[in-house]
Amino acid sequence: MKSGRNSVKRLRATTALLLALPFTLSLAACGGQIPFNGQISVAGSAPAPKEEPSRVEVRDNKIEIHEKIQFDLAKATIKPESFSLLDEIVSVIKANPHIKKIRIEGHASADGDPDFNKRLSADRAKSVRQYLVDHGIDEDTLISEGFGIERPIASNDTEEGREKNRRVEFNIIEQDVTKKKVAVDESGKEKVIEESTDSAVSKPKK
Amino acid sequence: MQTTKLSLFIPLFALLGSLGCSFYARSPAEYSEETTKLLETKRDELKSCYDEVLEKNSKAKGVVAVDFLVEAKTGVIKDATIDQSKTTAPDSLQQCVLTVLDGLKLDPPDQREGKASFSYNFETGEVQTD
Repeated sequence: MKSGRNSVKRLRATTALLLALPFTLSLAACGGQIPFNGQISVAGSAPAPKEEPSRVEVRDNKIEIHEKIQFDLAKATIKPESFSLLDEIVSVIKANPHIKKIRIEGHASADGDPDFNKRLSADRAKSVRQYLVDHGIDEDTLISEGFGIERPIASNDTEEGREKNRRVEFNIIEQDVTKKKVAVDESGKEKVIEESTDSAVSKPKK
Repeated sequence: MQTTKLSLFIPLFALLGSLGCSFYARSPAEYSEETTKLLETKRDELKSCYDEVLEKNSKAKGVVAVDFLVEAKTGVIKDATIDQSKTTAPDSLQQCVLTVLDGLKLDPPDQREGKASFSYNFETGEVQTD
């Protein structure tokens, strides 16, 4: 009899627990705050780098430079900031083996004594030549000359003009010229039927 | 008699329990995973923002750390703030993150509020050639 009552008590307790558990759990799930974290990666597309315009170009019988070679004031010493430009000139000459001879010309503005300017422009052209030789250009390819104020390209009446006149030029005075005879067939395809290479010499300006 | 009473109470308790919490209840891992999925839906907008920044500064990159709450029972993302101590990306990207979070809603909503800390890592990927 006693054992029967105990069984009923145990049954009640177990039932109460079973009923309370989901109820408590469901209530616990209803409130509070859930802290969490996460990460998102966003890959952007970098714009293609804009091509820097070339500072040095081969044009017919000239090597054109779109930046000035800088020298110390009234001296033939090249400023270090121009070394990269000169290195680019070296690269361009090496990349164009058809160029056989270049005359490096120094020019000055009308400021100051003309004789001094002539000497200075000659010394500056020589400095540039030496730099190119030191960096691998055959010395027989290069000659240098100073023209002082003789060949202005702008008016010496304005500072802007005088600044343009102070310059170093690279004139190609001898180069191989390749001549090609090309035939075009019916489909529009080109075919080289004759090719010859001659050495062209530019006459120096008077 | 006892058995009859019990058989009545069991469904009653179950009903009360279910009424007490009729919303979805996620674990922290589920909360994180599903919120991440929700935030991922705004990836294109973020990429577009980032590409604009890269147009001006091709080296721009960094992290935007943002804290926000996911409102209980509505799922609305609210109270987003930038954690400046962990943020390294430019202001414009920070603003962009706040803009894309605005109006987002976790569906289905959760019974409990979510307290989220997310970091957006902006880095350049492939190079655009066109």
